[in-house]
Amino acid sequence: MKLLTLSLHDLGEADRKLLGVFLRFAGRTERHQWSLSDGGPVHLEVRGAPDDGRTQPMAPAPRNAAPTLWIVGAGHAAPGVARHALRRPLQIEAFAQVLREREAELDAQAAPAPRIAAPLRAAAPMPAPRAAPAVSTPATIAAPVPSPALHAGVSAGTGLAPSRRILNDRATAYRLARWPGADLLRGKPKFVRLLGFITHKPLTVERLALLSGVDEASCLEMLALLDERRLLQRVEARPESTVAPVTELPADSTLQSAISDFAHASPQPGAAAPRAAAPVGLLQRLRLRLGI
Amino acid sequence: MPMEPKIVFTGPPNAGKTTAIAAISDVAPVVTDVANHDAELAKQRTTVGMDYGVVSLDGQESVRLFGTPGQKRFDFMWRILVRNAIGIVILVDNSQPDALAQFEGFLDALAEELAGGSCVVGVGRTESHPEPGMDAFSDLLAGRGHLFPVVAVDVRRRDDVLMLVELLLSQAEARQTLELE
Amino acid sequence: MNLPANLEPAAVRSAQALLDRVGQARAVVVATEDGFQVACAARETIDASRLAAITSSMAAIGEVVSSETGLGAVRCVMIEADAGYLVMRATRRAGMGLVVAALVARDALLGLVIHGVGETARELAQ
Repeated sequence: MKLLTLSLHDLGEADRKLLGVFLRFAGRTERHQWSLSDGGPVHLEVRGAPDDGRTQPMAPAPRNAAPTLWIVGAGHAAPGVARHALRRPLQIEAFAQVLREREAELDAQAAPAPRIAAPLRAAAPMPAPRAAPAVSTPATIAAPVPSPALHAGVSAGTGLAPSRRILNDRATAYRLARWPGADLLRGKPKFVRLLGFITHKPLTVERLALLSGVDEASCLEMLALLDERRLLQRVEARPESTVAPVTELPADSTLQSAISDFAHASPQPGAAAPRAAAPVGLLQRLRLRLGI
Repeated sequence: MPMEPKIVFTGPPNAGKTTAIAAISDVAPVVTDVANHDAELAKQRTTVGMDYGVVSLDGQESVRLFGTPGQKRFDFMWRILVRNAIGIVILVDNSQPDALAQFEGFLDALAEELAGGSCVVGVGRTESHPEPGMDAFSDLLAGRGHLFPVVAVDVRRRDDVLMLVELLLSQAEARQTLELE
Repeated sequence: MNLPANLEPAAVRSAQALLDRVGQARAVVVATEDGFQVACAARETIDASRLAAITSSMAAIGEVVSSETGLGAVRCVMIEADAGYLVMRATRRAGMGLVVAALVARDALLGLVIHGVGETARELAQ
């Protein structure tokens, strides 16, 4: 996992906040992890262009210096020779594309990563190949204990992740294609809870863990089990376009949920009107009362 | 309109709606069943109004369990009873020769309530009548754009009925969490 | 369906007689307790089989309400609405439950209708 950093310059609070959200959701792939630098050399500089209506020619970058990503206002012409310029209103897809291109550049250069002094957010190392929960999530997450009952078809002793095809990244969301039968559901409350979520909309592994309160490791196992039984749909986000769903799912549901922290996303067009929430705690109390 | 604390059991006649409610209700369910005079329906009594059971929560609150009549001529009762429910349990009797067609009838009648709602399908008598399989029911659901669990159950068993309720709650809670975001 | 002997002709006669007695009656239906139509006499087009199902539900729910509230044996179940009334009374004939229902216009004399429905129910009972 390559740790990469970027820095922000000449940007207002709103831009900084938004880019922080973008970074959270688009800044990590299987092989790269971006974070904000608090000093020292970075892999990418993000600069706000002065709001004077003129195009900003980009100075040729010295070798191994970080390129600049210009943030320009909606009315600006694109800065001269700048390959990288994002026009407001900022879109996460475009930002993600810049990151992916920079990653590809760096991989191609095969240059050693610059020394990074104390990046603000460091990812926990991922012991390959088993996926361990690397993201800190609310305290409700239990310690990751894989449930033995879900190890169907996997030899428990190898420590191999059940399926390499379940990707724990910001760009891949999963949705249920069909419910499993009673044999898989009986006595598996965590599994049933997780299924309830991915029956509604595609969710990334991180979102699923966060929302359902099921630890990431168990989420990965359960998704792998569903995948093996062909009960899972995958929705990919491609950096150069809006989310292209594998099936006829709502176009950008993953990204909508990603930026809903910052901006209140409206419901998907065509989705059924949301039902009113049950009285607070009713469903949970019913569970307790019935012992389920 | 707010969600009401009720769960509705519906489905064709003789699928076990009254039995299912009895399996988890705190009190013996109130039934509005009368003698059955339909020679084609192999049972002595049939629900014409509703079945009513209760799961008491702590304090004053309770979740009500309603069973609808099964015959098509009482479909007005189905729509009244399922309104704003936490979820709908559709029980089916797999020993019926037209089990799938009966099931489709309910999907059609309740199309509006099922859109965006929580539902679980419980198929009974599968030990003696394994066909149609669960996939046939799931296919019918998928054809209408629904994604609900279909499970084989014996509604005389409390655990099976609890599993049905649990499958409803997981959908309802997830929807609640997602909408509160 | 196995109706008791002579029920159908008796029900047809009784329904017609009640309709004739109550000028503002739109329809009179006799139904089995489980919602099947036995007889219908009407001054307008109505969906008699649907009404039969509805009245059997109402009668059954009325029974429950009465027992839950300690009101004793149910006599009439009645709906009063803007455009009129639906008055229902249950009875039994040869061990089979029946419901007599009269759908009447607003200007009907309610007392007369209730009495008439009661009479018809008694006629049909055995």
